[in-house]
This record gives sequence, structure tokens and C-alpha cells, in this order.
Amino acid sequence: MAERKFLSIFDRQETAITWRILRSSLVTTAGLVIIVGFLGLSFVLWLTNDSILPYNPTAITSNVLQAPSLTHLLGTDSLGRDVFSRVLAAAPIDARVPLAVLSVAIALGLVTGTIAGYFGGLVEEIVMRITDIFLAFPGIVLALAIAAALGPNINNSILALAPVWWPSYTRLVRGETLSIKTQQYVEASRAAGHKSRYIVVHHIIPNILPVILVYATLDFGNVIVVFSVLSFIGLGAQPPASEWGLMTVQQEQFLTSSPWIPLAPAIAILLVAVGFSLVGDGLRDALDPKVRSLFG
Amino acid sequence: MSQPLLDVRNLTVRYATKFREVKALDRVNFRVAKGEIVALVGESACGKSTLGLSIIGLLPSPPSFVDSGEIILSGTDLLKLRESEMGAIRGTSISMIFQEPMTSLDPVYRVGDQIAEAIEIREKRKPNKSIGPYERTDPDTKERTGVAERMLGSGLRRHRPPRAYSKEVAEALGRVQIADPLKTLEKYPHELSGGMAQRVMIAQALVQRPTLLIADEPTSALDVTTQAQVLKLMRQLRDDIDSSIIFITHDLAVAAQIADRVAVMYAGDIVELAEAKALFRRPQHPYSEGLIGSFPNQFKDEGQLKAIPGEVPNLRSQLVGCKFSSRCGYVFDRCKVERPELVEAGPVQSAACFLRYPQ
Amino acid sequence: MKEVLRVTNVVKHFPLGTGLGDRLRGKKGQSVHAVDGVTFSLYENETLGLVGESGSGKTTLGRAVLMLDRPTSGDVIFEGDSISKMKGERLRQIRKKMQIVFQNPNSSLDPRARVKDIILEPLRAFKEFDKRYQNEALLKVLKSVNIPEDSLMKFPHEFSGGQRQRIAIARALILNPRLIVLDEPTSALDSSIQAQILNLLRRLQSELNLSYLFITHNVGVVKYMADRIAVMYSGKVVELGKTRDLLQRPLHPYTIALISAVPQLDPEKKAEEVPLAGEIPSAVNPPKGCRFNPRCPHAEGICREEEPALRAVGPGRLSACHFAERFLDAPPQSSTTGKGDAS
Repeated sequence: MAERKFLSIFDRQETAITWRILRSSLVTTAGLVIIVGFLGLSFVLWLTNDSILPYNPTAITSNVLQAPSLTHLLGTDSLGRDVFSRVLAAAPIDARVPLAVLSVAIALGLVTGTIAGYFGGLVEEIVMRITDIFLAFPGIVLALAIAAALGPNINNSILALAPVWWPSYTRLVRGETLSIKTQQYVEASRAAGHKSRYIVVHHIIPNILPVILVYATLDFGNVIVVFSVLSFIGLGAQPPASEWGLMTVQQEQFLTSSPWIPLAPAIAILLVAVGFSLVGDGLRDALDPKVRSLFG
Repeated sequence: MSQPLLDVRNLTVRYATKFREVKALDRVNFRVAKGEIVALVGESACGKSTLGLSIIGLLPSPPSFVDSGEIILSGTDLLKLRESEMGAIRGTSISMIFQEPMTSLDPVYRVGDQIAEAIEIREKRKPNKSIGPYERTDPDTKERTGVAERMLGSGLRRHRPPRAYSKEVAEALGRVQIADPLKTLEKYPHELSGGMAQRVMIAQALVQRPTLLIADEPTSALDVTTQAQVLKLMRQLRDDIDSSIIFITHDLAVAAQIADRVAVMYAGDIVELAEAKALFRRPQHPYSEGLIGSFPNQFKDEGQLKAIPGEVPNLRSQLVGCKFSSRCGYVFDRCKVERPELVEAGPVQSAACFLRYPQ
Repeated sequence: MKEVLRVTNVVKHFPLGTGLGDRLRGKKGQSVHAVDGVTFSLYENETLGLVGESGSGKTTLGRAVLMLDRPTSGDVIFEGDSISKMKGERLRQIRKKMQIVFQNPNSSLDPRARVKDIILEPLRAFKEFDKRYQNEALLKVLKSVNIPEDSLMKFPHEFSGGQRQRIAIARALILNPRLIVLDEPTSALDSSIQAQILNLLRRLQSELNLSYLFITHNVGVVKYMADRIAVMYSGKVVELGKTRDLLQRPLHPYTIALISAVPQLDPEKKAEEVPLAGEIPSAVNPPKGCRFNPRCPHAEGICREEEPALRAVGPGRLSACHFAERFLDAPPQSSTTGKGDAS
């Protein structure tokens, strides 16, 4: 079976070039800083079980509606909880949900998309029509329906969002498969006597991965936003959990009086979504062979 | 040469990005007389296309930069002109046709309209409006270009050049031996075959009546039988309108068939410049000799082709001495340290090789 | 001489989708007649050149021989076995003996695979080759095509076009095939590299006793590489014969026109090309009778009615022209004299 252990995206020299290209753009570097900070923070918080936060994010105190100060960097909310700690505590949740949803979407998309694209015919028709059915539903409506049916909590949100995301990946993968299928190196593989499964795993998927990577990175922000909307509506994270969407809606009434309370989580969403978007753009350039040839 | 039409002097073009720098052209000297066909021959990365694009000013900059040199057309240094002035020259004094006729023609316009547009440019000489709606200075124009169209561009409503030009267009199509000119004018580019499309490009060049036509591998994408026809057409073009032609090709035999003079290029240098007959009879540069020798023109039982060993050098590294030295069968010490200049190697030949230097 | 390949009446049609409206009206589907009845043989240690311009069907024929596109009808016999009906495991085993080298060295190598994996890939399709055998075969084949061992862990884009084509040839050789189909193997390469690759291919043929089906549009190249030549036009073979005979005394109007259009390396010999009117005929609706008749300067009544068969017109010469005999006495084509002939 497969001898090839390293795909070109894991080759040292190739990753060095990718890194060089990403670093060369100020905007992309800014995005990288944001997402590395975000993911790193999430990881650390998850490891230490929130213990490194300055205050307990769920502890209700009587110190309500304090303006930002040196002791409370972003003040406190209507229940006396430290806003800064809450915003940070939300990071692992808002990291975990998109990661899970996108992993499912990519995995499903790769399997269904390559099968549809490579084998064509009736199989392709069936797969694509099912995909079409899912795509026909407005994403949020579908997610809401599933979340409502399953009961509102974070894990069910993942189950609600995955069906919304999966079809576009199938479409993407199928399109790429179709174009790669006609490349001569795939033909050469067929001429050498390889079976379809080998060709799909060894030639088609490695050549699709860069595109998927870019697409998913750009998509990360979208998942956060939709998940936040779910929480906003009350079908995602439930109080007293810290989640940016939830925090924004719960403290919405204070927008004019103590704006930092609802604004801080909203800006957090904005920042992370933009960060991923910038990196996704940068990655797209970094993986473009024409651009790569300019960098050595 | 008495008063050359085109005089390229010491042209150096660099291709530079943050991490890579390559000398695409290295102090190139080159002239074209009025009414002559000069072939630029060479393999990939030799700089022939770069030279052609530099002359017509279409080198994307960045990443290409002209480091030094002059390109003098009928007394004017083109490199010193502003873009608007250069734009006035393109399509009128200098024309260019490319390798892929299908991508050189706009797929959403009829072929006749595209040729007529070329005529329009010639007549009105309004270069900065070479795409998009024209100003209504000509009372013959049927269409009225309204504010909306001018703002949104010609995509909004197709601008059809005046009917007055149709006759000349049909004539031009006939001159390039297109079978049914009136019917062809109405066609879209995708309805034409490769050969026909290239002939349309030549027709477009014909109506522009340029003093200099640059043809970048115009026959490389064509079948051999179509190529033969197109080459004949191009010779005719030169005779009909007295254009000079710079014919860029990688195919030595095509150069032999069409050119009066040939410039052989290697890694950014012109290594030999000679009248065609002299070059093919007695090449004076080892590379020209190697190139001619490696051209398959013998039967299987007549021995082996003499291939030039090695590969074209990596232009990124700073090459010292003669760029061909690593592959040259006649190499000696001087070649590795000093760069040879073009010197006379015969009554109508010059070569950049120390072997030809006077002893 | 032993016959390695025999192609009998191979036809390959690519169906064009029929619209619903046409189907309702009972119109039969149209198809592209890429190859329309081709017959030839290829012998041991021989190169058969398949020459033609675009639309001739030469590439499709090459692929049909390898069963990359199964023929619509007709038979392909490889080393005595009829392979056109073979499927599955039997066909896979035959694939070991027939390989292909494609035209474009950029797209025929997986850009994300290392050279080592690219070359070993054909071996890995079969379980019987263990690691030791793989390594030995790899080193052997690298030596044959002159690629240094340190290239193995690199990626295709780190190499030049000529080197990539060598890698493609190495890949084709690793299973020790008998037949290699070469589809324009040097058309995308620089002329100086082309000579190197052609010489390499010739050396490999004599060392390894290979048979080549050499597909090209370049008359000079086929002259240098082929023992025999089959000229194709619009899906059919119009002439077949030994290289020297065919090129010096062609017996079909298309071959004559083709040869006369080839530019010569001598500026004093300007091409006196036989003008070819018109364009390549439609592959969907080929002309009635001889497919070349609309463009043929010698066409007469019968040419428009009856399709000429590929028939013998002298020893070892086949031509599909009703009037092939007329060309028997023509003077030899000066444009194709070899270097050894007196011009």
C-alpha cells in the first residue's frame, strides 16, 4: 500500500516557502497573530480549566456595572462578573465549535465529493442531488430547526451546524476532483494499473487539500458568527456559559449605558473572524504556484 | 545599416521579486532596417519574448525593470516616452501578434468588429480610448455613446464601429486568404479554427499598417500545413505594406524560411547576428552550430543527432564569463572569466565568441 | 520478425450528448469519429511513427491501444492475446508490459509527489514486488535515464522540462515493458533538449529491446526515430510504409502536401508548398467518400463517392488513395533527402 508518508505540504522546504510568503504581507501577519493568539489562548484555557483567568467567569458578585478599571480591565456586567475574564473564557468554546463543525464538513466533503467527482454517473447524480437538497435550506434556518429539535446546548449546536456546512465542501471537492481527474498524472497512474481507490487517496486528495485548507480558513469566521447567532437567539450556548454571541445579547440593554459590556464580546467575534479571513486570503496566495515561484 | 528603423542599444532588463532576481536581457544590441524581416531565435528563457515585449512597451513592470539602454524607433527613444505617448504608438506604428490567436481575440465581439476597431484606431489615432466607447467625434457613427455607456464601459451596449469600415475589413480578410470574407466577418472567435484565427490577427495587423510588426511565435500553435500558409502570408505582408517584422520563434527551420536576418539568443544575450543564408551555411557561434546540428533532419540509420550537452544555466546565479561556456565544446580559459562581445565574423555575420576575436 | 502489437479495424467514437428535444424526435445521437477503422502491426524492437496534424486521431489511437479509452469496435492484439475485451485483473497484468510517456512533462507528473514515488508508482500497483526489488529497479532505471540519485526526494517543479521528461521515461521503464506509446514526448521541450531525449530513447530501445509507437506531428522527428511511418488524417491511416520510402516518394496527396509544408533548415530552399485549400473536416460529420477529397488537388468523381481502402501499392507500401499509382513515378522529394543523400 501507500509508501508516501510526506505530502508536499509537510515538506520542510515547501513549508519554509509558504511561511515566507505569509510573513511577507503585513496584513496576513496581523491575521496570523490574531488567530495564533486566539487558538493558543483557547488551548491554554482548556488545559488549565480556566484557572489562569483573573476572575471566575461565572461568579456572581455584587460589584455590578463597574466601568473598566485597573482591577477589572473591561469592567463588570449586570451580575457583577468580570467582563474581561468572560470574554477570554468564551474563546475555547468559540474555537471548539468551528473546529468540530469544519472537521466534520471536510471529512464528509472529501469522501462524498471525491466519490461523486471521480466515479461520476449515477453515483454523482445521487450525491449531488442530496447535496442540493441541503443547500436549498437557508443555513441559519436549518441550524435553528435542528438545534431546536435537539435541545439547546453547545454540543447540539455542533450537530446542528455540521449539516449546514457539509454540502458546500462536497461541491468544492467534487469540482476540484473533476479538474484533477483529467490531469495526465492521474492517467499515468491508471495506465500503470492502479485501482481507483489508490488514485483517489494518493493523487486526488493531496492535490485538493490546499484548496480545502484555504476555504476552511476563510470559513472559520463564518462558523463563529452563525454559532453566535444561534446563541444570540437562545438555541446555542446557554447561560451562565461564556460565549460571545450569548454575552452580546444578554447584556444588550446596556449598550448605551455601559457599552463595554455588550461591545467587548462583539468585537471579539469581529476580530477573530477578520483574523481568519486575512490568513485565509494569505494562504490562498501562498499556495498559488505562480506566487510561489516568485519566492524561490 | 544606413538609418535603421529600430535601434536597440545596450538594453538590460531585470526580472526581480523580493526573493529572486534574474537578468532577462543583458546589454542587448540589435537593429532592424526598414522592410526587413528579422528572426529572434532561441530556446526558453533566452529573452526573445522579453525583447519583443520591451520594444512595444508591454513588459509588466513590476516584476520586470529596464535597467539601462535605449530603444530608438525612427529617432525616438521609446523608453523615454510616457505611457500615453507609448499608447499612441501601439496599434499604429508598432503592432504585435501573439502565439495563441484564440486568446488574443475578445470572445464576446465579432471578428469583423475587432478588425474594424483596429481601423478605427488608425483613423482616429485616439490611443487612450483603445478599449471601451469612443468619443463621438465622427458624425458617421450610428451609435450614440451615452453617459451611462461611457461610465460603465462598452460592456453595457456593444459599440459597433461604423459600417464604412466593413468594406476594408472584408478586403483585409480576403488578402489573408480567408475563404468567405463577408460571412467570416460576422463570426465570433470561437467559431474559427486556429489557422483562421491567426489569419484574422494578421488581417488586423495589415489594416493597422504598422512600420514595425512584432510576431511572438505566431505559428507555434498551428499545424504544419497551416503554418506554411501563414508564413507565406507574412512574407506577403512585408511586401504589400513594407512593414519590418521581428519574428520571434524557437523553431530554427521557420526562421530559415521567413527571415532575412537572424539573431540567435541564449540566456539573455544575442550570441550571433547574421544574414539567414550565411548563418545556416556557416554558423559562427558554437551555440548556433549546436542548435543547427541538433535539428532532426536525418534518417534513423544515418547516425546520431549531435545534442548539446547540459542544460540552460540557471539565470539566477551571477554568471561569470560566457554564458554558454558550461556547454561549449570549444571552451578555453578566457571563456570562463570574460564575457565576449559581438564581433564581426564574416561579411554579414557577427558572433559573440572569443574564437572570432582577431588574434 | 515477432509481432508485438496488431491493431485491427479499431474504431473510437466519442458520443456527443443528445438533447432531449432531439431524442424525442427520434434523432440518433451524434458522435465524434476520432478514429475510424485503423489497422496496422508493430514488430519487436521497431518504432512505428504515427504522424498527423490536429484532428487526425493519432493521440486517441495511442490511448485506445493502451485501453485508456476502450475502442468502440475493432481488436487490439498484444503479444498474441486479444486485449480489447479484457477487464479487471487480467488487463492490469497486461498493463505491466505496455506503458505510456505523455507530451507535457509538467502535467504528467503529480506536483505533490516526490520523484521517488512517481517512478515507483507503477511497481506499487502490483503486490508481488517487494521493497528490495523496488529499490533495485529504481536504481537501475535512474541510471538508464541519467538522473542522479539525489533527485529522488525532490519534487517535479525543482526540475527542468527535459529532466521531468526523463523522470516520466523512467516511470515508463520500471515495469520492463515491451511496448511504450510515446505521445509527442518532445514537443514541449526546447530543441537542444529534444535531441538529448530522442537519443536517449533510441539508446533505450536497442538496450532494452523495446517497441515504440511514436506519435508526433513533427516530420523531422519521425524521420529520425521511426522505422516505419503511418500517416493519419481525419481518423484514418492514409499511408503506411518504410520511413525512407514514404518520405522520399509519398503515395498519397495528403502526405505530399504535409511533407512539402515542412519548413527546411536551408533558407535557399523556400517551401514550395502544395496549397491545401479548406480546413480539417468535421469529426462529427466526415465528408462522403475519401475524407481528404474537399481539399485534394487531384480529386475526381470517384473520390467523392467511394472511400478508398488502405491497399498495397507496391512492396511494403500502403496507400488509401484511388489514384495512388500516379505518384509512383514522381521524382523524389528533395525536401526530405537525408544528410547522406546527394542533394
